[in-house]
Amino acid sequence: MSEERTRASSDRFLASMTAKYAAVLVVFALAAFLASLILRHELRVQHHDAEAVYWNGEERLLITRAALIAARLAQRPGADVRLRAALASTVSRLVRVHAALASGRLLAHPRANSTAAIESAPALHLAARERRFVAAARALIGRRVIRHNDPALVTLERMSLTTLPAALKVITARLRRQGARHLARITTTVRAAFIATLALLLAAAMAVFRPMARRVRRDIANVQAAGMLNQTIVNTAADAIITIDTGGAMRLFNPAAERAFGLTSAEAVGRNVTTLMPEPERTAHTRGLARYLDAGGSRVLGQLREIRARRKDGTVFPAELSVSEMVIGSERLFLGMIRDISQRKEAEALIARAQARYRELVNNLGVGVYRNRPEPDGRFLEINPAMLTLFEAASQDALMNTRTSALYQDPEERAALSAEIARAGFVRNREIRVVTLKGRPFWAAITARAVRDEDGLLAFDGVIEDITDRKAANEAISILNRDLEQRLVEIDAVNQELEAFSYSVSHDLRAPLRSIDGFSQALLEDYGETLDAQGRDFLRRVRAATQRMGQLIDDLLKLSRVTRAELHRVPCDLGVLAEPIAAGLRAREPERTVTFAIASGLTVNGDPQLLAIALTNLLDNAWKFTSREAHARIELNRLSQDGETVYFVRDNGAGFDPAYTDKLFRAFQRLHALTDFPGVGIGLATVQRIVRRHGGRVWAEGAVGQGATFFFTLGA
Amino acid sequence: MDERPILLVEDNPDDEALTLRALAKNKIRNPIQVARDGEDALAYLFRTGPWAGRVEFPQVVLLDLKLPKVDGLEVLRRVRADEALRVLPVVILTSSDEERDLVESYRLGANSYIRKPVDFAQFIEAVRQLGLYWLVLNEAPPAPRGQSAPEGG
Repeated sequence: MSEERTRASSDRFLASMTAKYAAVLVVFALAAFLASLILRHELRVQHHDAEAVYWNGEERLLITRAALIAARLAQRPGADVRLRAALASTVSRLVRVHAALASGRLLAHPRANSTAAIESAPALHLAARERRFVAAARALIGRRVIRHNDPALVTLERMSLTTLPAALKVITARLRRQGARHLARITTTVRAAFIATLALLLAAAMAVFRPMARRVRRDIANVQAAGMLNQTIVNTAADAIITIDTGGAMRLFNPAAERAFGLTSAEAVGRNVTTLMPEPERTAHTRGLARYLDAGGSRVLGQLREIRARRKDGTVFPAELSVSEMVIGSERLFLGMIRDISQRKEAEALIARAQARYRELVNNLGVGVYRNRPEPDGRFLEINPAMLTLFEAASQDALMNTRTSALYQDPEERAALSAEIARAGFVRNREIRVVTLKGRPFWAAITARAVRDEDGLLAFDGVIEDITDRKAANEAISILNRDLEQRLVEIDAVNQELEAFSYSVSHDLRAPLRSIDGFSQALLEDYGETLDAQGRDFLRRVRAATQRMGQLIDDLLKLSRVTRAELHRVPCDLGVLAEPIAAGLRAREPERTVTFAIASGLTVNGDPQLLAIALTNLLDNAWKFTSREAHARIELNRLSQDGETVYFVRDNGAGFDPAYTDKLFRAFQRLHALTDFPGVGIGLATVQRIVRRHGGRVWAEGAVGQGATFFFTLGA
Repeated sequence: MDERPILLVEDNPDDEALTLRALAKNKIRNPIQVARDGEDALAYLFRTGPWAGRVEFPQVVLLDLKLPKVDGLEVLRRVRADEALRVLPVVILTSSDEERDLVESYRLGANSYIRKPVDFAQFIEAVRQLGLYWLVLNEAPPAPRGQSAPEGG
């Protein structure tokens, strides 16, 4: 709730309370006035009655006195002058009193006519008797001699003793009863007034004080809530909030300020705010504050400004500051809100750097980057430097001022391209014939997309590349591809022939050999005794040659199979492939002492079956050529050469003459006499084929009597 | 004791002679029945043509692959397709060690595959082991109905 609304509500409440209070006072005054009227009336009645009782008594006394004086007159006839005067004055007084009573002023009730009516009848009756009494008394006064039996005297005596006192007694009794009634009425009135006063007071309390108390309680709660809200805002605000007095001393230092400045509230409060400022802000602040307090006018108040602030440890960070002024009571305070914007600044710097990088990237790209308008006479809006080179433009302006459509060999193509980009949103690697500003045509690939620029207008962002060379290369490649396909067909045919050939060789070439060998053996067995030693030797030679030819055929077939077999590359370990081969060699000649040093982890990507054949040949070779070594050693390992992994099989055997290295890998080439080392000379040729099929190379190093090392690589 | 015959399917007379010699050298006394081509072999096995009256059921067939008329693999296929002959032991005895022959033979249900070595001594050894296994150690399946069992022949 805003302060204004709170104040208005309070005002309304006070007005309503005042009105209620006034109403209560008015009611109170009216009630008091009414009570006073009632009381005055009753008191007047009471006074009237008391007066009547008094005059009644007076009347009775005067009657008794008149009767007594008359009696004396009768007893002392001589001394009568003074007595007669006394009797006369008493009678005249009685007449006056009676006249007063009879006039009704005293007997009649001032307001209650009924009472007057009740009283008037005996009063009139009494008046007649009194007139008789007065007449009798006046008669006596007029007589010269008064006798005892004078009828006037008798009348006086009789009336003073009986008739008049009785009548007066009745009236007195009536007046006393009347007085008691009035007293009771006064008592009732006073009590009622008392109760009414109490009730009014209670009502006033209910009507005025209870709402007032409730209101006050609520206002206090509101004020407390507002205070707590303020406190919470100050404590949890992300921005630093600091208040200072006119002297610059800090009064409030919230938790965000503690975090931002590395200063506790206890440390900060009381210190001058310039602690938080580096120079020259510090001096500027002191001067600005003094000027403001002096003359008013500030560049800071109510503005959001970027400043530099200083932490406790002296580091400076960029911040946003807004200052407002508060007057609390008689005191002026300034409230500053400070936001640490170093992260934002860093982000802005990062963005600026990134933008610069992108600009640089675009500027340095070898391909043309542009933005243009789709209209037929549209121009480029932006181009990178590569565009100038691409279109052989002398300057940026020269290209920017050229209609884009003029750069196309066929303007129709440009129109179609524009329509497509606008429709589909983009084109990718569209090959278009364009022309430079100097008129040189070339093939370009355009990748572009439709965008809306800042003004909401349609524009094309694109990348353009000179693909003349690429197109020529593609042409060459497709020609090569056609050649290659043709050759593949031929090779396929050759392969099929080769396969049929080796199948035939496998079956047919070996059969006669078996016959030659078999029957030679049969001859030896069945007719050996009829032959001489030389004849038997010849037959043995026939058999040896036959078997050797069989071996040759087998090896040739293997070699051709290695060439024909499909290559299935999988990860495999040369060491793991070599172990069983080595074990097989040991088993074949258990009497030999050969140390195999096969490295572990020789993982390669190759065809395990073909690699096993290659390793078999290499290890066989090594095994064979170390047969004369007492301590033969065969090593399988790898090394790194010019960034390439090279595998090798090394032995310390007979070695070879380096002059014939190039003959090593040719089929049926042998560097040693058969009698020295048996073999048909096809093993290394097989190794070479396998290595080549893997995309690798194979070579050998060695010298006679110094062992040999066979190196190979396995391509990718 | 009477032995069930061995059927040797072989078109090359040299190989036939050498095989017979090797069998004799290994003292295998089973009667040897020779078929010189696939058609002949099938006639024998299915008791058709000249072999209509045959009663003995062979103990094992030694089958060459490269044969005139009907080749060895076809013979094997027909044998394995027949309800009665399916159980007949067939040993491929050939010059070829082409992988495709090897794979195809086993795929069609050959029981063994032996490549005839050029060295006759090795051949004799191979035949010895062959005879030892198929004629002595191996329990042959009982003869199908209508063909004689070893005891009955």
